[in-house]
Amino acid sequence: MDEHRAPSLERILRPVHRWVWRDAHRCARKLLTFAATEADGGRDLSRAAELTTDPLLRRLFLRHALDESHHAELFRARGRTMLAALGGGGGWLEARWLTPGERGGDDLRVEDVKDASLLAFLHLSEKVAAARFEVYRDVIPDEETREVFRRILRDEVFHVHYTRTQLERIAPERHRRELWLARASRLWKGYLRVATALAGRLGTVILLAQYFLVLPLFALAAKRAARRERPGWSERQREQPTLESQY
Amino acid sequence: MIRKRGKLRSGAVVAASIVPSTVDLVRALWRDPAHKRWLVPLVVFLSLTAVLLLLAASVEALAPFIYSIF
Amino acid sequence: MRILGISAHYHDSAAALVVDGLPVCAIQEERLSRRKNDSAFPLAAVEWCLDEAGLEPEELDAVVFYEKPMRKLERILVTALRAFPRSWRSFPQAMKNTLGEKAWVKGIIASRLGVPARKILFTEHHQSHAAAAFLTSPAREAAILTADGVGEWATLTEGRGSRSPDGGCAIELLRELRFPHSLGMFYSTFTAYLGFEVNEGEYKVMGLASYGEPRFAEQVRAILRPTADGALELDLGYFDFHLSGRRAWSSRLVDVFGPPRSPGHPLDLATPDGKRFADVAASVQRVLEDRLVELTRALRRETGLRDLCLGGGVALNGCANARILNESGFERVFVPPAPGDAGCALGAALYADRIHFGGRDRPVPDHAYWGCPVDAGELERLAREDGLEVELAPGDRALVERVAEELANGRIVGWMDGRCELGPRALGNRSILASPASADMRDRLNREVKFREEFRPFAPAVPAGVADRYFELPPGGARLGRFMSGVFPVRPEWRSRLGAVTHVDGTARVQVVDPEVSPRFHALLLAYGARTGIPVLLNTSFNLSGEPIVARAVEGYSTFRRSGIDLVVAGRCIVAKARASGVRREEEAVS
Repeated sequence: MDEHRAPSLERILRPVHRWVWRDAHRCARKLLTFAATEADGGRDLSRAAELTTDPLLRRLFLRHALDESHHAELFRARGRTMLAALGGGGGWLEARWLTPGERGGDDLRVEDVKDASLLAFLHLSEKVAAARFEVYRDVIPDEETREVFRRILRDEVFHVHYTRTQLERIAPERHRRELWLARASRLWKGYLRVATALAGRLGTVILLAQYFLVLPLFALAAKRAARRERPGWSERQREQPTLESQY
Repeated sequence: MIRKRGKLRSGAVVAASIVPSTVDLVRALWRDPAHKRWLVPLVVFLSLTAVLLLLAASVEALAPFIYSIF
Repeated sequence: MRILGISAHYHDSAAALVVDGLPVCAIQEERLSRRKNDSAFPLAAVEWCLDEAGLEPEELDAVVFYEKPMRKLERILVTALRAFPRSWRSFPQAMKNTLGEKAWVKGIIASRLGVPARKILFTEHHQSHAAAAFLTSPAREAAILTADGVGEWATLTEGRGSRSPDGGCAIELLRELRFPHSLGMFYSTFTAYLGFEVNEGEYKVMGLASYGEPRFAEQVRAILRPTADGALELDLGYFDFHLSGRRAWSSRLVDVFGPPRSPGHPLDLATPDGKRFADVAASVQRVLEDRLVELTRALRRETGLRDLCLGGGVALNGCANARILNESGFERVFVPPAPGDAGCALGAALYADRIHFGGRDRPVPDHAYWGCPVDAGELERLAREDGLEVELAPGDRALVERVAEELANGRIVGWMDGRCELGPRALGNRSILASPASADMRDRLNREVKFREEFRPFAPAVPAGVADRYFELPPGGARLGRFMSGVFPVRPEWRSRLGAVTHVDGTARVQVVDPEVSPRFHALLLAYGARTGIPVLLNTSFNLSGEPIVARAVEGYSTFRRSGIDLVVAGRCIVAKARASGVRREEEAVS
């Protein structure tokens, strides 16, 4: 993994990662989240395999999909073993955004991209994930979980490698451009994620303000109307609205 | 073959449908034998909120700014 | 008339096209988008349906949405108001979802399909369920019961449907149970409590129930109790689904049944907790069945009719359906292949055709195969490109003999034939088939193909003529078995020889295969029977965990390559995996 050394940001964040992974409950839940992410990634890749017209890419995507499913199983098994040993309860904070799994927050819609763009995207996200997993492997306190990351990292090397060589094969003239476009796309998607999250929060604030300022009077009326309702059957009105009506 | 429309244009068509749909609901509430007229002002108010939500969803990149303007 | 039916936005969206009174095609969006339980507006499904019929959107006479969005908005709003101030968390989310898109269905359909607003119609949610159940059944006159989580306000309806000799049709829903009192929400709440995904894990609760004792039945009966007028009510003190979006049950429910199971936690039936969860599942299942039997008995007494049509997601509960058939007094019970929301697309279109436009009744072909066809040539091309050996059977007879031989030798077969099924069941057109003989095969399938919980049973398929020999089917049982809608006992003398499909309680969710509808699958069962002495095959859906059932050859091929399936078949094309072992190394070398 030396060729994919953790970028400086990940190295700087190492103490944070160490803190995140220190709690065994949190660690177990994170592994289960990672399992779900890997399984999703596997499904995306199998879809990519179904959509590509290039036979070699299809085989590689299928192999990659199998690896992701295997990783999901490794994460799931380890997470479940830990949870079983720990019993219920545990910390509440998963810190998902601090320590994302493979693909992190990257959103992938394989139907919408061409093979070259997909390979560029995969190459970048696999590279970032490998670097991240390397840090996790180093900071995680228990040996068995470290071993899970170690095994997964071996596959990641292959993924980083094949996505690059295949990109160069199918887009020999423009593979660098594709990589830059993929980087730009990741940045744009990152902004969209932040913008959407921010908009979601603003929307929630506006609706909550409405809830507490506008709704109380209506709530009184609704509760009064509810008291008039009797349990059991409601007879249907003879005159039913026509199909033109949305009510 | 279904013609694909832009997000903004689709948003505009959906937003335009809010008025007749709300009228449909208001009319039904007004006539309802279970006396639901008290709900009408809230429905109208929330339908106006819906325009804001739709606009924000149509232009996701500008969504935070759209909320801020309102 | 050309009528497009659409169901969308909650779970399992779908589109269906009815032309001149007959369905032409119907498909769930998930089969095309490849996102399980895809609830998005079913644009791909609509596009495929129109292409299949060679129609442009503007040539449609009507587009029918399966529920009334404004009535639903009213329910969501009123529910939030009644729960004030406890609904403060769920209100913003509900409003963003509803007001931000779902409520304005008319605009969405107009903008996506480019059809004028005047052509867009709306049936009620339970009208769509009722139409999907009655208008696709062969019954002339039938009582109708629909039950699900919730539509607009209704969660359960009772009514009757009739066909008159002059070709007219009527569906009259007489009464309804309203939200929050809901059989579907009751079952879903316990599904979530038991750590399974709602709208997906209900089968698991049913499977788990067989491992438990219904020792909590009295407590559950107190929660789901009959009302004086013969309806049902939930004791809402045990539920939070109507108050907050965070959790479906209240702390009172935990006081009675103990702590819930976390979704990630292993379910070990040997532990006290595992046993408790199985007992809760058994109790919930028992009470659901009891209440449904009471309702249907009363409906039978009231209507005096011999046939019953069941619709709504609750009708997917095969154990309950079998008890209704056995104990309600109805002679025949009809459950469509897609009783849930996906089938509402077809129901809405048929309702509009027969009731709204007054179209003449035409018998709807009695099968589930309304989806996209499989292209054997595509499978052949893919396999050849990957260097796999392809075998083209010279005829149907040779094909079934060859596949039966492989099955008899213990191989697992991915079987694709004709058009894919509408609804959640694989009924022999997109199925994984295997020998039903031993529990080892069940374990192998769980381990190498389906990757799912051990307590979930696999279903058998059996030819119609001999079903009774292996399974204790009551009168009318074969009808329920047509679309795998009933769970029946395996005859004790066959249980040891049908180990892979006999559940722990000695039952099976049997599919009774009609030669008229599935000739090739039927022939395969007979050919397998000729070799092994038992014409029964294990039939499970052709998909992997977390994925929708395959629709096209390429998806079947991809599933075959990623799992322990030994052989994949599409039309007359057979591809085996035996010689594919070197592929991985070759890929690594070439990459």
